[in-house]
Amino acid sequence: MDDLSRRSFLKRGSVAVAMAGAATAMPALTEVLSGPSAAETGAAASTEIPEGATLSEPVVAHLRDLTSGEVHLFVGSQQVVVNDPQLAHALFRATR
Amino acid sequence: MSSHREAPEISKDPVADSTDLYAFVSPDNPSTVTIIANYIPLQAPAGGPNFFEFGDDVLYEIHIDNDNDAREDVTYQFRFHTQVLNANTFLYNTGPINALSDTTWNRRQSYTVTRVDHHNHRSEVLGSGLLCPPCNIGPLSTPHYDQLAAQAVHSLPGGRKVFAGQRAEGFYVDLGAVFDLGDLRPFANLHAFGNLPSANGVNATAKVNVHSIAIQVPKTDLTNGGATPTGQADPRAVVGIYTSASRQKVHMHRDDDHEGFGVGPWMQVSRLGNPLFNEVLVPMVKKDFWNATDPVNDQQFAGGVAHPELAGLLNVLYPGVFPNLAAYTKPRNDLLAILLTGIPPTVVPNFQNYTGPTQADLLRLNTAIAPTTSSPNPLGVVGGDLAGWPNGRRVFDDVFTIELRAIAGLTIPLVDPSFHPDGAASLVTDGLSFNNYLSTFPYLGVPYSGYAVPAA
Repeated sequence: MDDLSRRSFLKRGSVAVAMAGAATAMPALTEVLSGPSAAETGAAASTEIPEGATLSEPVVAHLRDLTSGEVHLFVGSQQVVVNDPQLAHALFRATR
Repeated sequence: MSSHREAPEISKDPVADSTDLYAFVSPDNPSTVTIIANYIPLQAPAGGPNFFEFGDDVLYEIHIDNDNDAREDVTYQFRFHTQVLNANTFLYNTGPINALSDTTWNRRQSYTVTRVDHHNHRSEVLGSGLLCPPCNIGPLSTPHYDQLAAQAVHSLPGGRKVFAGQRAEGFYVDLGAVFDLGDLRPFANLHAFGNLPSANGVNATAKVNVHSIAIQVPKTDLTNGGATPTGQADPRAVVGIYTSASRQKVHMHRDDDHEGFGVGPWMQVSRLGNPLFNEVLVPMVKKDFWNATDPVNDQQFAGGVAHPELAGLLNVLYPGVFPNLAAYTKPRNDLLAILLTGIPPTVVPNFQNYTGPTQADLLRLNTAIAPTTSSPNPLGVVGGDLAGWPNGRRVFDDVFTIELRAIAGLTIPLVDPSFHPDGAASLVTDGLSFNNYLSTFPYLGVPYSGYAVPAA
C-alpha cells in the first residue's frame, strides 16, 4: 500500500466532514484554517463574523506556547495548529 | 494477564482496555476467519445496576496488514450508541428480557460496523443499528440467555457476521500465583523465596466476564488483493492483525451536559496483537506509550524481546532449575521471530507466518492452514498443532504456558540448534486447563450471570 496511515486516512476523512460543517457554521474559524493566514503571516485573523453564523459544535483552544503564539484548536475530529501571537496573548489576557 | 489492566493509565479506563485478541480459521466454516477483540476486563457478573457496556465515546478497531509493511490495509471500525427507553426508572430492565426487541430492556446498546480499505481509500458501512445483547443478569431478567445472545449474531453483506456483547472470559491464568513473585503453584516447592508445597493452579479468571467484538469474514476479505492463497507457503496466506481503542484528544465536562463530550482527533490509547507482549516484555514506564504507538514502530521495543526480563527472573526465582537458560546470553532470536516478524519458512516444517523484516507486534495468521477439528492441542505450534498460537490464536490456546515455556528457552533451538533447553522448560506451567467455549460463532462461552455468580 502507499504510505497512508490509518490515522492520516481517518484524519483526511474527518477533515472533509469537519470543514463542511465549519464552512457554514464557523466562517471565522474557516478563515483561520484555510486562510493565507495568521499562521503564515503573523497577522491577526479577521474579526468579522458573517451575519447568521452560529457555533454548531464545540471548539476547544489549547494555548501551547505564549511566546510563539502556538494555539491548538480542537473542533469535531480535527486539530488545527495556529501560530498567532496576538490570538495567544488575547487568550492569555482573558485568563488573568 | 494477557493484556488486562496491563498498563498503568489504561487500567483506569476499562472500556478502552483491550484484553485479548483471537484470530483463527473458523473450524465450522473454514473458508472464513474469525477475529475476536475483547475489552472491559474482569467483570464481576453481578456488577449492576449499571451493567457493563462498550464506550460510546471510544473508537474500537481491528486492523489487518496484508502486504507485510506492518501498516493496516483493512480496518473494521466499531462505534457504539446507548439508548435509554424509560427515563423514569433506575432499572436496567423492568421485566424479563426474552427478545432484543423487548421494551423491558431499558438500557440498550447498538453499533455500526465500517470496513475501511486503505488501499483504495474506501469506507463501507457494513451494518448499523446492530443490537448488542444485554448483560447476563439472572434467570428472571435474562432467561434463556444463550438464545437471547444468539439474536445478537448479525449477518452482514459479503458473507460476514458479527457479534458484540458480553461473553465469558476465555483466557485462563493463575494470577494470584503469577503476581506473588511468580510462585507457580505446581513448582512452589522449588521457589527461592518460600517453602510452600506444590499444588494445582487456581484460575483467577474462571468466573468473570468480558465484552467481545467478534467478526467472521471470508478469508478474501483480509488477504492482499482479495487473493485465495494457494497453500501455507504462499506469502499472501499470512495476515497480521491487531486491535486498538482510541479516544478523542479532548474530553470536557460541561455545566449543562453531565456526560461531557469529546472533541479533536482520535488518539490510540490501547492496542493488542500477541498476548502478554505489553504485559511481560515492556517496562512499566513505557506501557502506556506502547499502547499509543502503532505496531510499525515496534522496533524500539525489540530489546525487551531479545533480552526478556522474565528469563532472568526465572533463574532467580527457581535457582538451579534453568542452568542452560541462565548461561544463554545471545539475543532471543526465537522470541523476536515469534512475536515481531513471524516465523520464516523452513524453521518449522510445513509452517510459516513470516511477514518480512519489519518488527511489529502483530497476531500473524496463516489463513491457508486448516483448522484442527479433532483433538486440537492448546499448546499450539509448540505442541505440534499448527492451527494454534502463534499461528493466530484460538480461544482455548494456553498462551500463558506457551509463552512461559518459550521464554524459559523451549523455542531457542528453532533458531539456535546448539542450545539444549533445560528439562523444566517443557514442563513449566501455571497448571491450568479450561473448557468453557462454544463450537460455533462467537466461540467464547455464554457469560456468567450475576445471579449465579454474585460479586465476592
